[in-house]
Amino acid sequence: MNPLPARVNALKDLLISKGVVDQNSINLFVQYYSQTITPMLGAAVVVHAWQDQAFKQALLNPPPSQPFYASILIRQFLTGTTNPKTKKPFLDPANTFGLTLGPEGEYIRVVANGPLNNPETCPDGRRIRLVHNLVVCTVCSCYPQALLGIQPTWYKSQQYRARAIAEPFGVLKEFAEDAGHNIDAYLKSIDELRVWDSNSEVRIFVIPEMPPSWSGLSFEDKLNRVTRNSMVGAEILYA
Amino acid sequence: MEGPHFNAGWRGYGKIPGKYQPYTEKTVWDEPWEGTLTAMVALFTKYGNGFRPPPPRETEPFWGLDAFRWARECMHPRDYMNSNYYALWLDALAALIDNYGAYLGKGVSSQEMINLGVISAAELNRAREIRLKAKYETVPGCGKPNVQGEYASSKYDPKVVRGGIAAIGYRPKFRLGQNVWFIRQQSSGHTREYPYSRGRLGTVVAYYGLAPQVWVNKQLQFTGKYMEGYADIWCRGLQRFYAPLYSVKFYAAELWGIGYTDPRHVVYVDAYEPYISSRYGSYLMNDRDDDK
Repeated sequence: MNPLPARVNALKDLLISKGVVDQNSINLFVQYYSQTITPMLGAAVVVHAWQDQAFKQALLNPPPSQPFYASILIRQFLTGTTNPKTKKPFLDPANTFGLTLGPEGEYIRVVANGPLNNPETCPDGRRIRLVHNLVVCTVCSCYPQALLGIQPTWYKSQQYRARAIAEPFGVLKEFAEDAGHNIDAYLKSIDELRVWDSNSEVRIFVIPEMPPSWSGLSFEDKLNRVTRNSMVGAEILYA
Repeated sequence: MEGPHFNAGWRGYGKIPGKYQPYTEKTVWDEPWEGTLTAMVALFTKYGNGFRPPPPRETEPFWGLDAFRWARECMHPRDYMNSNYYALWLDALAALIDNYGAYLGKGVSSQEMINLGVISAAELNRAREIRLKAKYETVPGCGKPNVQGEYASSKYDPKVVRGGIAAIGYRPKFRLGQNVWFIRQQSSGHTREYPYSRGRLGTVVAYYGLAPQVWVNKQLQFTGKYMEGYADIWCRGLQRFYAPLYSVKFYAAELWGIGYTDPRHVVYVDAYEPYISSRYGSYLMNDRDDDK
């Protein structure tokens, strides 16, 4: 076989010559994926959820008759809020391909890391006060692209797909260590570590816990500090 | 389909690569051709569930993310394990074109792809053989197909169920908090019931349900309800079957054993209704769904 870039180009030229796709549409999609949908969108949702408890609770607890009402709420927020960097709304409805938020953004299930409002009890009697959520797609790479953009290479790697579902504590520790943090105390404090395998068209979006020292920061300052990894649950945010 | 993509829980992979990859125009993809390929796949699957489908036209095949996932799984296991992530996509896109290209009416032929070195004849043949094998296999909730590879289901075929999609998703068969077993199955087709959950006991924690699409002026209206097809049938691109969706919680030791499992570790997976059963082994003696 030829090298991969040559094979892709050959296929592209063939499909263009037959009129199945055109170069302009390809360029638009590349631009869309690399510039329009970025983790900034997810970060804006996170910061707003931190600042507005009613919004956060509505995202976390959709009505049973509309289990994905969060997608509608997020669309309302992103289309109605100005991005301080671009001075334009975070989301332009013309940029969603007619979808609510964009690709893989219809069925958003929002979960939050940190203390539960209403602690739960395990069958063995343990109390669940602090939960941590971690998202993986073990078989492919399903991911809320409309809020986070294209998946990072680590999310698509066989290493992450194989390990996150079976040894999430080790994965969280590895993420922290690679950034020079010691996460042992946090891992010890978790009462329940919830790993979500994205095996339907439902996409899980994580609201990370805000470091208490950020409470005085502006919307924009917080926005700049929310990391992509934290919205998958792979890392926690550090003061 | 059974294969190396079911590597959940495998040991010995070592460290996860590139954990702090920045998100900039230059770093979204490792190589520019990966972006080109991503765009082509988006364009090619837009008539499936990746992007908004047009109002259903029952007379033609359709394809989308489930067909694309299945196509990726058809790669030779040895190649899959050694493959770049986007190399899987290239083979899968070629297989999709091989399968559906004729329906585009644009004269794209598989032979041209082979001549241009896009894909080998052996790879396309492997995918064809797998699709052929899948055509005669039992699918949960739908039994065995007829000789044309068409499934019949009194529960999940909206043409058969009185009231259509709305009736299929009208009420949950399993209640919240109920313990359910995942059925045992293997498939040459695409399924989203993975080996690690098969035969295992979990608890229903959410009913996502199922609702019909609402179209106004050729625009799909998002209602906040689940409106996607049943992946195991949908991946075949021939019949639009639907099954309600649940979220099920497992204690991790049920899936991975007690060897290295932290008791605080739980796993959430989604389950299309035919994947789960309230009685252990109800599917063992026949392929009918007798779980009332």
